[in-house]
Amino acid sequence: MLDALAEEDIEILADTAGTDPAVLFGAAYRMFSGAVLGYLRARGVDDPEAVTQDVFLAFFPKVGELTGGLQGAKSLLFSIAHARMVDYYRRLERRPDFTPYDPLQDGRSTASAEDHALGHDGGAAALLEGLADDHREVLALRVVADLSIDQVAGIMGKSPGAIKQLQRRALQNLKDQTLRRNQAQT
Amino acid sequence: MSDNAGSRNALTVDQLLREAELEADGVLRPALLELQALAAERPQPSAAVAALMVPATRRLEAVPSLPTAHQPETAALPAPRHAAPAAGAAGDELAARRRAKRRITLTTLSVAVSLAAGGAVAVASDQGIRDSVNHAVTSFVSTVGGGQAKAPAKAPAPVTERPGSPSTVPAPTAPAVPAPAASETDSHGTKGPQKHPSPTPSGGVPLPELPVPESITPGAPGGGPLHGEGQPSLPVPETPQVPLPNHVP
Repeated sequence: MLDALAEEDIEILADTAGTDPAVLFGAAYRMFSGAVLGYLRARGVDDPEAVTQDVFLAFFPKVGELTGGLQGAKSLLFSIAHARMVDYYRRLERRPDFTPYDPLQDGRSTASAEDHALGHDGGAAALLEGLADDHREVLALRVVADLSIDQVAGIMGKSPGAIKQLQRRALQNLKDQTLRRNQAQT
Repeated sequence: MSDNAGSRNALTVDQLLREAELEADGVLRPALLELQALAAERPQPSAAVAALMVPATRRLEAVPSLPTAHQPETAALPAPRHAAPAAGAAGDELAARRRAKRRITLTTLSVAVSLAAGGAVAVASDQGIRDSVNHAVTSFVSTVGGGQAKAPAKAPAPVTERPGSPSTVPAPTAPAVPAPAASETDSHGTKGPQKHPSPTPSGGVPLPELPVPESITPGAPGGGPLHGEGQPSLPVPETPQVPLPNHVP
């Protein structure tokens, strides 16, 4: 059933001409909202659900000018998400941290059993924590957002060759970090 | 996520590892699959996003129609020009916006016209400006209509010499039409003298010629005959010679 809906959404996004923008928008939301949320979560954005809604609200006015079908919609959405993520980190650098201590926001606390069961312990996102910023970005876009090398190159403003190099180094660093983590756990 | 989606994700990870020449790696693959699982959860759309996902046709259907009791009243009213019958609330809002925009334009125009009228009244109330405007209008009308407007008003009028009258005193302030001008207009056949009537009757009725005293001076009280050519002058009583005392205290 889910696959049938996904196939229908893919068909809607494949031919955008003459389609109601609301229908296109709904299909794009069903197709990519999870990936956008995962990307923002992997990049460590606070309140990724709210930023996901902002990304789609910014996407809606451009639905009418959408070209490139499914991949075009995907590129546009993750371009917006990338820009929101960059904005978030720039804002974070400028803003002094005046917030009082909140135990729920303390990253040193251990996750609850429910979070462990649902997989919300931040473990997957924590995989990227020790990596450099470019490495985190390329892995998030390639793995979580499932974008091609060309699309990632367009979003990050680099050449495809540079993205390939970056991806290889990121994977190597991720492997080393995972090995160290596994050894520490054992 | 279904099995097909899971296998698609595994294929993506395998392709990624193949591109990085790490396809035989047993450590990275589970880590990447775990990372990819972040995209599995689909968030609930917020109210704003959910409203944007409703198709336009369904949005129009959701607009409540007017009750039937109010229909005759609305039918009796003149329909606004911009409001489409099926446009609903969005059309009404658009028409209201356009009306408001038109109202602003009309208000601005009326204020500008009022300011211009006030300025015109203020200008018209000034005596100097009014005189200059009158002068300009008069000169314009005379230039267009007669063509000889300035000559009689400003040129000094020499008194024509008459046979038998020895006096040839010029009268600089005489308003009479000069004779050369009259003859010139006659020669050209224009009607200049008729448009600028002189105080003396010209032509038709001959006036009796009176002797002009020789001791007349310009500007003296007895210079009456100079103002009116051929008109009788009033006798001026002679001033008696009053003896003045030699020593004034």
